[in-house]
Amino acid sequence: MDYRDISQREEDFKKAPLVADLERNLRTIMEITGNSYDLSIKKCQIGPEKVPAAVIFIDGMIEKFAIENLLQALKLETFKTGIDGINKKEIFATLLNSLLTEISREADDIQTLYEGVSQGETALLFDGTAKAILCETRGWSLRTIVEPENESAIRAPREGFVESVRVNTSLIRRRIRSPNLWIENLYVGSLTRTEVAFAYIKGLAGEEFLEELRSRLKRIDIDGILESGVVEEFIRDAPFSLFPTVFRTERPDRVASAILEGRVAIFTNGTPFVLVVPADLLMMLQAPDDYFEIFPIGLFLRILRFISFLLSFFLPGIYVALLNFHPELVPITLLLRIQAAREGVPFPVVAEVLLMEATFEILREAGVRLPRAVGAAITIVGALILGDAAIRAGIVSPGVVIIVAFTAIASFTSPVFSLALTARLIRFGMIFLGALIGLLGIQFGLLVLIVHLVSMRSFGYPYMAPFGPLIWQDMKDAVIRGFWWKQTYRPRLLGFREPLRQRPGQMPRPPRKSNYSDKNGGKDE
Amino acid sequence: MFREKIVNRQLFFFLFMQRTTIVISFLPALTSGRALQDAWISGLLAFFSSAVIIFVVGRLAVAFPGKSIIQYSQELLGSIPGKLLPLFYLFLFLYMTATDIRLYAEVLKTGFLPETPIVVIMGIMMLTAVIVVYAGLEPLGRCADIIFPVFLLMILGSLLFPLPQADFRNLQPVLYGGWSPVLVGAITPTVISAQYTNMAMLVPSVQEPQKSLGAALWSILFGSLVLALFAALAVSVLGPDEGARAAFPVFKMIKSIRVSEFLERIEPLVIFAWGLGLFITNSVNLYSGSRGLSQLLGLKDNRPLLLPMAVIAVTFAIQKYRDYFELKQFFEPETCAPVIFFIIFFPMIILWGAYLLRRPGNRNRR
Amino acid sequence: MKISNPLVPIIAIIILISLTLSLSGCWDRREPDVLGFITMAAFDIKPDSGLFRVIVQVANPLGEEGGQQEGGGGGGKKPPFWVVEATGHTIYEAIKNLEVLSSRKLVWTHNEAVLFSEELSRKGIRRVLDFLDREREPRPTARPFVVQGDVRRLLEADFPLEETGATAVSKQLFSIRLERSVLPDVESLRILFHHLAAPGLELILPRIAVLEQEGKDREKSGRINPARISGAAVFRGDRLVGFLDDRETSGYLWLKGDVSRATLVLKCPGSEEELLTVEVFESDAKLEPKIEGDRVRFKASIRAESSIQEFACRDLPLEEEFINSLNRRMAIVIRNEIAMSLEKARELEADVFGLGNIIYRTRPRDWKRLEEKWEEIFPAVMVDIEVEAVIRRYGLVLEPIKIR
Repeated sequence: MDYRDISQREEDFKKAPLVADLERNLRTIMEITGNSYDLSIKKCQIGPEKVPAAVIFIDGMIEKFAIENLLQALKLETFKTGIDGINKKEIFATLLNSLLTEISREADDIQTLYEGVSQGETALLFDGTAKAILCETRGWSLRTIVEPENESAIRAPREGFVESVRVNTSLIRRRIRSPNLWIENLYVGSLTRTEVAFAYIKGLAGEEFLEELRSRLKRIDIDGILESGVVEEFIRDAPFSLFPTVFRTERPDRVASAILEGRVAIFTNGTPFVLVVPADLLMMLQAPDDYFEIFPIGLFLRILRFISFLLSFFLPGIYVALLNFHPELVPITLLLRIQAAREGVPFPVVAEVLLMEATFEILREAGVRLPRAVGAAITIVGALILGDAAIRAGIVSPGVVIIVAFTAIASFTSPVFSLALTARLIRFGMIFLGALIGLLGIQFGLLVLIVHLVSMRSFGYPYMAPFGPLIWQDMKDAVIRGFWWKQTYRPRLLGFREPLRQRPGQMPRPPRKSNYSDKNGGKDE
Repeated sequence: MFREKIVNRQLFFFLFMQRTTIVISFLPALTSGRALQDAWISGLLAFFSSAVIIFVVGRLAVAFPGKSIIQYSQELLGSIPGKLLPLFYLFLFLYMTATDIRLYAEVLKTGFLPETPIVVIMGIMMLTAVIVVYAGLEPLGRCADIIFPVFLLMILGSLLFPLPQADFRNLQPVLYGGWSPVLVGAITPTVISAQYTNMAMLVPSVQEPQKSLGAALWSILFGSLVLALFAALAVSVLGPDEGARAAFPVFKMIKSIRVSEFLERIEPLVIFAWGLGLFITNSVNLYSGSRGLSQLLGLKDNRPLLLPMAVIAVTFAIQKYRDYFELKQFFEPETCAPVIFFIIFFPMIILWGAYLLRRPGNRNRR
Repeated sequence: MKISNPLVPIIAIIILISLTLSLSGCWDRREPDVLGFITMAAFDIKPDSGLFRVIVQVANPLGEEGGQQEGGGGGGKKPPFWVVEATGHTIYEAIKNLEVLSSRKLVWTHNEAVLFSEELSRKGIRRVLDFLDREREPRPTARPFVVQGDVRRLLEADFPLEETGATAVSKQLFSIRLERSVLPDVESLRILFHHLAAPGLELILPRIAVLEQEGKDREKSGRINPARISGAAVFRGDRLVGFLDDRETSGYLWLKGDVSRATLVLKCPGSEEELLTVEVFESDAKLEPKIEGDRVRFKASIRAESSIQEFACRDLPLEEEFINSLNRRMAIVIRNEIAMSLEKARELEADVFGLGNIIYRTRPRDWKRLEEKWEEIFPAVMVDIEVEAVIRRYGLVLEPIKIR
């Protein structure tokens, strides 16, 4: 019986050395991995000297084709060079230099060996050498690159990230082909050893900021990272805030554009959600469509989204405040309609709004959890039948249903889902404040919200930039989305190392001479 | 130690919003004094007299970069008198905070929330100020950055919406009562420029202090313009007598107008502008006060002082003014002018004296 | 580097939430179903006791459409409004006396019209005005009227096209101002207050005449509109001294330059029994004082632009000479209207035109001298009227149809 606990086992694993004896090495490996059934260890003899060797890989993580190639090469190489009688000592060096597979590297200890193998590499062990060769043979089935469901856009690339870091980084590399796109990686998680990579443009992203990010990532000490949300919580600023201080997305185009602004993307293996830091509130409200549609439409969409963003925070609170405290601010016809519709409703306005809000929250949550086919049905049953029945029974008034439903819809215009979640929670606070002391309460809530937002920073970058601090130059891409040929400068705080982004004055103008002029047309007659 | 910095733009926002908030609240040129339809001239005149205050307070602050009045007065006058003299200013900050929140609470109580205890309204306003000053001067500057455009839009809205109903003939005849009521009308707006004493605490934290004087002068220029515009507009919409009779003329004006059959009841515009402006005003006053007090007491941090100071301000606001009439009476030129001018100028005269006496000595040493 | 504590706002919010829950019925919070919204209010005085009488029309949400369509409590639809009155020694007392008679707290915030009865107006409206000015609920946008006839009858009346009297009166005022210039320009309490306070200017208010509906039964009587809104009530100080009829009001508006739509009926040139109609669509007035000692003369130049609306004169070609003669006739009609209203104002000794105000504004030095005795001077003020009226439009056809 082996009574060593996990930390002890990990400790021993890290200390386990490779020795010159193949059998001992294999025994150690078997002991450490418990001879797990997916770990294949194939013994063979190589070369005319018949050096005992072993091939180790994990079934299901390798490309069969690559393994075959490898073995083929092994035979070929050993015979090619080994006619003279290659000995145990030379075989390692010879093979390491001449194997044809894409990558081959050395492993000096069991830890390196196993970590390579667990990533889909194949290890070669030889008797008489205290080293192993790791060959790149990885290949396993992946989800195909599809459009992200939760971040759809009308006019934007249809690609979305998948669960593999390598594929994800390649999606970025395909978009930014400069050699100055640097990607660093590290492994996080004592048991999962998850690959975490971060990409940035060297020379554009601030060095102090990169140093800070590196140290924050390195500081993470946890047994396992299963999703980038875990990384997010470890590195984010203002951990108590309801607002996301790390931006996450499934869209390569958004990540690429963030990198081009001087931000850094953090890829985590096993999740399609890529984190972008530093984040600000503004980027949560920008959708890809804004940028790829022509200017006036982009402008319109952006403004629409800003308005609905504000509404999703404040509308129900304002409704309660107006009806309970300031009916004088509501036009008489509207007020009488609301009053008439409320006659006989047994709850006060606040209770009514809270009731409906809670119902909608439950409906939404149920809609997410349920299987997709049933989910739609639930939403319809819930929204239509429940709402209608409640109104008919006189339990809630139609006005409240309109307000709550409209607010819910407005909150979904936010391109980042986590912001919609934030809005839900803050909305409840606003309802309470509105019910407590009317518009004064709403104003209080608004001010506290502003103070909270402006005092937040994401990796030192002000969360509310370019509104607070006010950066006039960055307003070209804030509430309004300016023409592309007017976006001459990078965001000032992010791209401070080289502000100029493009050649100024690129506004398209009609050509001086044209083949299509009216005069030419006249000539034909 | 990391020093929080603001920029001159934010200083301008602070000062402009402080100024304009008071304008919205009770339109000093019109309701104090008897300038009636000439109140707008008083508003413009107040620019010149306020500029003097700005110069007197601001110039010294600029001359001692990075040092607040507490610090340079000790440098100029020595430890004990240098500590006593700024007490005037600390008292002034408290006084202004109390008066501002009392005014705001009065209008909310008369206009919107008649049954809510006045303490609650003032408490809520002070609480927001405490929260932001607790967060620091930098967030306060950023708050100003965010609030200013909203504030400006609201001000523009409340200037533009009443325009169709304004009858500018009400501004005639000009100078019916001669110059003296106009000059008297300029006194209260000048007294309210006591707000600019905040510069003595703020300028040390500004990144380019030599430009602060300019920012302050611009703010008083625009502030005076807004005052003049509102005075002219209130007179045009309400008539000179009605305007001067009103407790809160801008509020009354905006309440009185009907832009169209469906666009009336737009007074939240003014009330919110006032609320936002008051938030900045209060926070700046509280910051100056707490910062000053902490420097005076030799504390490193001003945060522990905030909550007690807020409580004191609210209590003072209730104790100082028995009712709205007394508050209003305070703003009559003959009541407030001597008190406030003494508080502003007495320490300044001594400090300037010491400063001017010391300067030649400096030169000799060099 | 300073890190702000994010707990502070969160704690503040938690405190506030707990406050909400503990102070559930706090201070100014009112559920909308305990409020009754006054849409129109009338003020009267009891001639025998001198008590103030306040009559209000309250919107009834149960009568509104959309309230409880299904399974609503038995019986038919309730009327869309309810009228209640109370008396008191002061206006405020009378208003508070209303509360005893009403199941809901009466709210003045949406009051659209303020009606002064003739009796009250003759005694002075100052005390009512102070209530309206001082209280926070009534808004200065409410429209003031002087009512000739039974005020309560007007409030209770059923307007054929509208649900409540308040909307009816507001809409009627609006359309009349648009279509006919027979109402003075005091359209809100704001202007009323200003006119009362302005020097050299007397108050003038729109007049409503209550038309008797046949029978007391609402169902039958609903066929005629119970209010005729035209003409003006003239005040001296805060007391009513007389009325201007439609044409005199028109004359008043001519002098004010405030005629937006005036219908003028003229005789056809050449044939005295035939008539034609022109409509003035734009007018302008300029008043210039000439002051010699205590003798004040005004020179009034009126300019009016009009269009022919009805032109059925037989055998009249549309020639320049004819147009000129029409213009002259129009000028005469306008001058007559002005003269009539001036005459009436002199008779009532009320300077509703604000002639004194013009002197105050443009000749402040003279006004300082005249102010004291303006009341004596005003009836003797001469106004030289100069009217320039032109026809600008002719409609879709030029000459009338030729019947052969």
